[in-house]
Amino acid sequence: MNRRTYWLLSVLVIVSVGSVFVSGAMGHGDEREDQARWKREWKDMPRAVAAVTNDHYANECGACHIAYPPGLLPSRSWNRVMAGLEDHFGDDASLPPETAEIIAAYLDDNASDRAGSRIGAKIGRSIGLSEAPLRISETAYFQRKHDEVPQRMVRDNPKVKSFANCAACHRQAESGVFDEHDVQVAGFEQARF
Amino acid sequence: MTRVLLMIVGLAVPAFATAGVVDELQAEYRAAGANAPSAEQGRTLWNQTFVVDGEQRSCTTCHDADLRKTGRHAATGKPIEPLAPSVNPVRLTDRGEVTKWLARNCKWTLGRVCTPEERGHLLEFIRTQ
Repeated sequence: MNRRTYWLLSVLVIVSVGSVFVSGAMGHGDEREDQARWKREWKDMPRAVAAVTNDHYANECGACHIAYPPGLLPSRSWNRVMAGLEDHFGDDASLPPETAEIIAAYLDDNASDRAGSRIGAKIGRSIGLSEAPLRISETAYFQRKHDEVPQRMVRDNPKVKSFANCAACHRQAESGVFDEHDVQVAGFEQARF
Repeated sequence: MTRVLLMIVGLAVPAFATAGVVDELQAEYRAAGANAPSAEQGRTLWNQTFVVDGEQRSCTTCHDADLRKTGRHAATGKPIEPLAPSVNPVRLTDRGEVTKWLARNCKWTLGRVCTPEERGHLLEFIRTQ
């Protein structure tokens, strides 16, 4: 190999490797930037979701289930919930219009896409932008976090019955704390996780 | 002296409130054509099973047959505080709460709204618990 061929080959290698980098950076630049921004924002967010502060919401919506902290679902989900109270998972949960208005505004202002928390952000990121799930337990993040929980601890456990019953295991759920280290499954207090 | 009087009034008001709300509603049901309320008929209704949406439902599904006990919501599993005023004195003291839950829970349990007479029987039964 003479010098000239060597030089040409080197240029060729540098250019091709470089182009791979450039095209990679162009293809994934948005995603990478998004990832970096997410990491920055996420770090600054409080771990726990904000506890419920609205009395109307706590009383009206906390009667049949815990008053789920609004930061666990995006505002588009809450809007859907509030639009269908007459048939709320098979129950009539309709409210006088003035109370419904107060609650709808509270939920909207404190939804996961308005008020930041690590858990709310992670749930929010696991939902497609065109989706507005009505149940927290429908979201991919929730399911990922609970996929190892056996049915005998929830559905077949008379003290729990449903994943809707957060507080039966997350004893600080009402204060917005869902840390897995604080989990104590009702009826399985002796179990170790 | 005034303080003592105020305390007595304060203690007496909740007791009157229960009587007040239920009596007021009973009068309205009577005016709407209901027969005299009966705690016994209320008890029967309380324990009766209805089939709604292919499901067996009863007041006791979520509350207990013993109203002094804590119940549990059929779908969510959330504990429901006892309905019996003898152990949970706030029950039957708030007119809005009473009418709201009678309306909602009749729809779920019976699949329809309760008649004024049925509501009268139920309230008469609950107040004796």
